[in-house]
Amino acid sequence: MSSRRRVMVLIFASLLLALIFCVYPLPPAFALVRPELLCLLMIYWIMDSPQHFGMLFGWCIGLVQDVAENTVWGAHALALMLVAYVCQVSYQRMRSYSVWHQSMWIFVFLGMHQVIANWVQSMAGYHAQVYSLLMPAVVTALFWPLLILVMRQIRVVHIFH
Amino acid sequence: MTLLTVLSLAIAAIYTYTDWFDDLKNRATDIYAPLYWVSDLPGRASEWADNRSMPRAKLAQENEALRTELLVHKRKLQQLASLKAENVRLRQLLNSADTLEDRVIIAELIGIAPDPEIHKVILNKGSADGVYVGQAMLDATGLMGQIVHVGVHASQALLISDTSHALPVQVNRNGVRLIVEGIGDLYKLAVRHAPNTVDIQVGDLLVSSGLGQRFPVGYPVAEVTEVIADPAKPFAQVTARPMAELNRSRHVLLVFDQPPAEEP
Repeated sequence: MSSRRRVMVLIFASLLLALIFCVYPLPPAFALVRPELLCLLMIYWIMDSPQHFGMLFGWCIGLVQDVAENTVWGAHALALMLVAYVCQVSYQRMRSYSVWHQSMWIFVFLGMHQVIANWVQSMAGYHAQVYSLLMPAVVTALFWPLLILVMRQIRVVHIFH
Repeated sequence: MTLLTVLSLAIAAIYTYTDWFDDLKNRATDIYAPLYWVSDLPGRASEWADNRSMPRAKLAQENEALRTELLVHKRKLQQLASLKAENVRLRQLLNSADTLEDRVIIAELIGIAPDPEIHKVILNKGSADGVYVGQAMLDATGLMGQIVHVGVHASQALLISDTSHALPVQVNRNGVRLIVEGIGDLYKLAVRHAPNTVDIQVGDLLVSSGLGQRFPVGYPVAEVTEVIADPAKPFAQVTARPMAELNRSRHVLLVFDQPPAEEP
């Protein structure tokens, strides 16, 4: 396999795993702080190759997440699309930051994602508490350095041997 | 970007306010069910391992407990048989229709909605097993909810504790009719528009009244836990605790009542 195709396989596999994690049954206390891995991976891949992935990529992922999670269709699509836009605009700046600095910005991105998704969700009468909007953003931001580390390992082993 | 924004908002609006997506939603059930099934595998595996590695003494103990329980239920059933016969005789005297014996199938829960605000579950039975939209879902202790989307081999059910769910009930003690509404809490339901003067007490059992033509009559729904009658307010504030174990039950019963007539 060419390294390009390997990367495609990696992207697809990582997104599928994140999607399964999205619906993985967690106890109610943990479900409140479930990290938004799908959003995090989307940010990762856009930061990685912004020339290939953009808003349509984010929108499609979001729609799949909506269908899988049974949320109002279009809620995550809109949220991920807007986050993808912000990533597209800011990737040059983000790349120059240290990992922990990036992580703080990821928190801001995730905050946006949560607010927008919840806003569309509230059309169907579901109102989330501020706590349940904020906590997943915090937890997801903490996952960012871990994701960078794991992805780097995978890419070294899997793609460049 | 504008296009995609408008598109997603349009989809969201159609999803929420119209029924144009109903067919798609039913189909989507079949598409995402495998995802839930896969994500449930670790839990299943540990359950299987637990069953395999259970010590003999514990198995014997469990068996003993189940036998005792069975005995208790059998005794109750004997009583029930005579009561049922009596009920049929009385109904015949009154010239009213006989109550239908409800047929049920057992479905297994394969997933729960990941968003803690949304109280929905995914079941492993679909239209191939005769499941239909609006079918009542029960567990061993009470009413759990109703089916909202049906795929071929999977379906989605809304729990009675979801904020978008309400059902007609009556107080078992005196037959007062009320509406019970979900408030997004698995252990709490709100009783809507109960007048201050209505005869309702803590400990009263609320059973389904069947008035909405959706749920079969007489299944236990909730037990009243709090009644606050404030004369300054138009309605009493009544809360109840669901009888069904909404977040525990793994196997549920789907009742075949007469399917409701097609909505116009």
